[in-house]
Amino acid sequence: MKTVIQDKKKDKKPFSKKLIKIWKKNYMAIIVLVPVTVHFLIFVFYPVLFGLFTSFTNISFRNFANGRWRFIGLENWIDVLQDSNFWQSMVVTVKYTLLYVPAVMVLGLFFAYILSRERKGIRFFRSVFFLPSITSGIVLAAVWKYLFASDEGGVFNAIIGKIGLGPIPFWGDGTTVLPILAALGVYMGAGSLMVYFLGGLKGIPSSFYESALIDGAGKWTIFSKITLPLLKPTILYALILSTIGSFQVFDVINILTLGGPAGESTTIVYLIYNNGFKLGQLGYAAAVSYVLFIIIATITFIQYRVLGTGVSYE
Amino acid sequence: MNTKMSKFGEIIYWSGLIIFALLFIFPFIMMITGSFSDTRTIVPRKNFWIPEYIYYGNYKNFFSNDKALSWVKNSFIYAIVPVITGTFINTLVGYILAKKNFKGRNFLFLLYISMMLVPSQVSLVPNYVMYTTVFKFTDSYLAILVPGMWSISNMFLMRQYATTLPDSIIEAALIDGSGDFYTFFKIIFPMVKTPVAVMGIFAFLAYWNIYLPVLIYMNDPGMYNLTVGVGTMVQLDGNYGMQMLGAVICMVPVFILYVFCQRYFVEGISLTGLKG
Repeated sequence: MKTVIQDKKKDKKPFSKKLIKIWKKNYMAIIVLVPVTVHFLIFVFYPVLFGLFTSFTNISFRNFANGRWRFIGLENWIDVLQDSNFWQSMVVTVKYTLLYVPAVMVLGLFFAYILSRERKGIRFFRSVFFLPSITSGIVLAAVWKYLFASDEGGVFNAIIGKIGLGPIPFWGDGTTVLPILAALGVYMGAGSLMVYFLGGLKGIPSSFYESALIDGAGKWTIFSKITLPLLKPTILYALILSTIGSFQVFDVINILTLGGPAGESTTIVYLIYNNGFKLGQLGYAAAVSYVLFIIIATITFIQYRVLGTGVSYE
Repeated sequence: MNTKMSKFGEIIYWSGLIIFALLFIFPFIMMITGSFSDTRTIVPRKNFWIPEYIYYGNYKNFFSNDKALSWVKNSFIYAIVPVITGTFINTLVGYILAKKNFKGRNFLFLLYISMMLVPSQVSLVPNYVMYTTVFKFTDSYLAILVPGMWSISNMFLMRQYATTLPDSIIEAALIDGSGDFYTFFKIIFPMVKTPVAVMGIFAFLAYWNIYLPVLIYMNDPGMYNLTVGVGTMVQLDGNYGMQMLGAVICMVPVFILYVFCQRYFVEGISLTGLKG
């Protein structure tokens, strides 16, 4: 009996002493994490919720400053799904993805494969292929415009002109615009995929190759039967990330085509920018950005499902 | 991988590499020669790959233009401040979430990193409304620097790295009687130099190349950075020489950083995955 009472007394320390004890143990976490979490809630977490809310309102350039916007339910979402511009932007984005993702994956893997062995001079080539990946898209878009300019000032048209061919209007036609944009994307993305795949290739134990060589396997057999299957997790991860990246392409389009001609390069993010920040339909743009969120979340979900069955080297 | 190539194979291999490398360098060469070209000689061009004479007019025009110089200054402000604030905040938060035990730690961590799944475009409209009406961030450096004080993905990188640090060192320091912050700055910080460098370089790149937020929040062209300034130049006029010069100016700091810190770029990719 006595001991129990004593225990209770121990528990009943004054509240202030308890606080001091908590403070002494956790003061670092409190000093750092309280302001950081406040910042997080205001600048990261709240905007995501507020964005969802604005997608249910008629907020626009005309009424957002005076606060006279109101709740309109699902109207924006229905508008989006009935809007031919939205569906065209979906088609454009998917087309861009189909042009960009396979090309950048193959080129990145190809560069990684041929540069995987440590030899004299190899580092130089790795740096060259990686350079566009760290360069601003705006810089490369500027160069792309100069290379592919429709008039005689453009580099390629100047070259073609020398052998007597007329200038090609690279930006005038939907059939040429998307491949040129995708080529720019591949040029920018292949280097970082190469570095990523180089990491994956390094992770494959060399004993695998040695035993295959002893068995007399050829280069192609080794690549297709050993390298590719063991690289599968890396490839899948890179595939998902490049797909997400290609759904978010914006900067270079805003510089080079402004979504044209006739909306043939208007991707989803360009649609968000154009409708939200040029035409001022903020509520509509918020709804489109949430549709984009849903698409990307689906891709990410697939990533986790597929990557759940990874490969182990043991 | 350890197979030997024949002589013929070697020739094919190296010439193939050189052709690809030339293709990849070609746009940069055109950028540099373009920046030294007089626009009048670009249209129509007799010689597409070197200017007929070296023309310094673009450089003179750029560096005598106050607006262009303010783009350079702004680019440095937008890029360097987040590197400094981010280095401290990301490292501190990452370390605390990795090594300090307190109630709600895992919840907080999951809350932070769950936001990494949300594409940044989702915040465009709400941020625009908040920044222009409540915070009055329009045409102010704060629109970029306040939200950019720290970054969840870089914090995540630090946290993953900090979990690999041995507990014994931290405990030993604490038993010695040094406080938490002292331990952090004197003992932990020097141990995480590599991820700090990676983080700093990635933050610099991301903010040096920042485009859409500057485009949305800055109405005054004097508040543009180089990417938006050069981008507007490319959108508006057909003066290729000036545009290539703008591209060169925007490229130079990144290139210098790349030459001197290449190791960290490569390590960064393998630590964090790819850039979006």
